[in-house]
Order: sequence, then structure tokens, then C-alpha cells
Amino acid sequence: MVVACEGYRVVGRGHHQTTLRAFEIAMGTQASALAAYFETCRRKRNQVDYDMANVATESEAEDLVQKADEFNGLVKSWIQGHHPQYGL
Amino acid sequence: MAIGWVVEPHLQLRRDSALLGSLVRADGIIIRMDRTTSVLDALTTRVKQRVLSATLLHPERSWYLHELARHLSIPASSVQHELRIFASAGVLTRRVDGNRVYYQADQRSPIFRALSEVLRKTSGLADVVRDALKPLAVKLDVAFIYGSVAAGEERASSDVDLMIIGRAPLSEIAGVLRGAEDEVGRNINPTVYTTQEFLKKTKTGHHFLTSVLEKELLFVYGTADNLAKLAGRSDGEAAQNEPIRAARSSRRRRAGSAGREDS
Repeated sequence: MVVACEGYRVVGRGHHQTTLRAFEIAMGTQASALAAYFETCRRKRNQVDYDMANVATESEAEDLVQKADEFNGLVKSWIQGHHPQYGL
Repeated sequence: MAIGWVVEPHLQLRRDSALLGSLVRADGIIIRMDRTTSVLDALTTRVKQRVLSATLLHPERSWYLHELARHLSIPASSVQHELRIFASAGVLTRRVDGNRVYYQADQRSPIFRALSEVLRKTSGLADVVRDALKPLAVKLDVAFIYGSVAAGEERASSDVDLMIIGRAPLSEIAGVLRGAEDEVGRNINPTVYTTQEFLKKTKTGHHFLTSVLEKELLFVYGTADNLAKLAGRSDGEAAQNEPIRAARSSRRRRAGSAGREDS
């Protein structure tokens, strides 16, 4: 949503990785820690999909759910502040 | 990291920021572990350590003087001095290409493997990762590198597989490792367990954990004994425990080629 609000669309190979980098650029330092975290999760998701299904732990899954909620709130707040025309 | 032991029979228990690790009570005597000098600092200068780490831990790449000096943020004159010494000693190769001189690890050197292993376990990856995790140290019980890097079989593109057991969540760990990834030039992939989940899964013979613990481990925080205790094994079992092995020298790998045992 952040990337779209800024008028961009991610295409091509590595689109997940590019999206993470793009939202960090768009949202600035407030998103850096989350961007690093989601990049780690993205790599882990690739490992789970392609290599070993057991590398994701229960505590990591719980942490991810919490962080996803936190990110959701951060994005809504950012859009309200930077692109209020979208009325979130 | 060299550890000095100080026995103080009547020491009061107190928090001291200069103390490293835990206070251990044995037979009523408080034993305090003090950090002294790092192994590599005792052996050689920081500039030499860093030049060797940049070259020997990345043997696939070559460097010209100013490129390496910029990468290390060390004056070129200091780097040049060390490069000449290492090339003269046969640790690095020297190649002229146009108006530049390139230096690279000489993998044919009889001490290349041994030196690389020392570096890997000291100023190399383990130290970089350890330094990166310092802000979270109080939340860590054990952390170790496993997989190809711990076994000394990594390629240039190998990721660093890192297992962390303790109270720090992945979200915090990912943040502090970002700088370390830039420094080592590799992705660091952490897997995080709480102590409860780690105990539960080792007890039930979790496949992934079992396969990790059966192989070489390079400890960043804690020891093999700490790990064994987290897995619910006693001190006696830890010493004999087959599935959990501390990082060793490459005795098994070299036994067939060198024909001698490592000390």
C-alpha cells in the first residue's frame, strides 16, 4: 500500500525483496527495523518453501503475527499522515 | 577470548559492569570470570588481523591497495605495509594488472587452512556476529553458527546460519544483525528458539534440531555444556553426548590428508 500510495508498482523478479526495500525508502527510518525483520522473514519463508520445512519456530511465528499487526498500524498511520486523500 | 579466573572467597554478590558472564558458585566459593585479552590481539596487531580477515576469509576475491584500505577504513600506507609482508611470506599472492597490483589469499599456502580457521573463529564471523548481538546479550542463553560456515565448507555465497536460544525475539535479532551482514558480506539467517521450545523439541527428537546438533557448531554465546543443559542433559551426559558437539578443529576433515592429529 505504501509503495502504491507513492505512485509505484513493483514488477519482475525479486518483487518481495524489492517491495521491502521500497517501503523502507518511502517510510524512512521509522520502518528500518521492520524492513530488516521482514527481509529476514522473507528469506526464512524461502527456506521453508524450498529447503527445510522445520526452520520456522513457534516463537518466530508468534513474533511475526505481532509484528504484522504493528506494521499494519504503522502503515495506516503513515498513509493518514502522507496521503490523507485515501481516507484510511 | 581468553578468560581469567579470580577466586574471591568472601566476595559479596553484586552487579559489576566490568564482569563478563555469570557468577558461578562452586563449593561455597564465588568464582568470577574476567575478560582479559582476545586471542588474536595477543597474537598480532589489529591491522594485520583485519587485512588477513578480508583476504583469507574471502579467498575467491582479489583486492588492490586503495580498494582494501577503503573497505577497512585503514590508511593505505598501513595496509600497504602489511600486504607486502604477507605477500613476501607467501600468505597472499601478488598480481600486476595494468597500473594496479592485486592481492589475494594464496590457497596453496600450507597454512592457509589453519589460518583461515583461526580467523573464522576469532576476528572472523563469530566475532562479528557476537559483537552485533551484544545489545541483546542479557536475553541470550546460547547462540551458535551451524551449517557450512561452522564446518569450514562454506562458499563465497554461503549464508551464515545462526541459531539463538533465549528470550530475544527474531524481530529484535534481525535488526542488530543487519550491520553484521554488511561487514561479513553474507546473509545471516537466524533461527530463534525460546528455551522452553528448544527443550521440548530436543526431547521429542525434532528432525531439524537433531541434524543441526549432530554437526559442527561454532559458538558465539555460551558453550557446548550450556547447550547440553538447555537440551535437558546433565553435566555428565553433556560431556559424553554424541548429538551435541562443540566446534572442533578440523580433526576429522584433516585426518585423512595430514596424517597427524591437531593439538
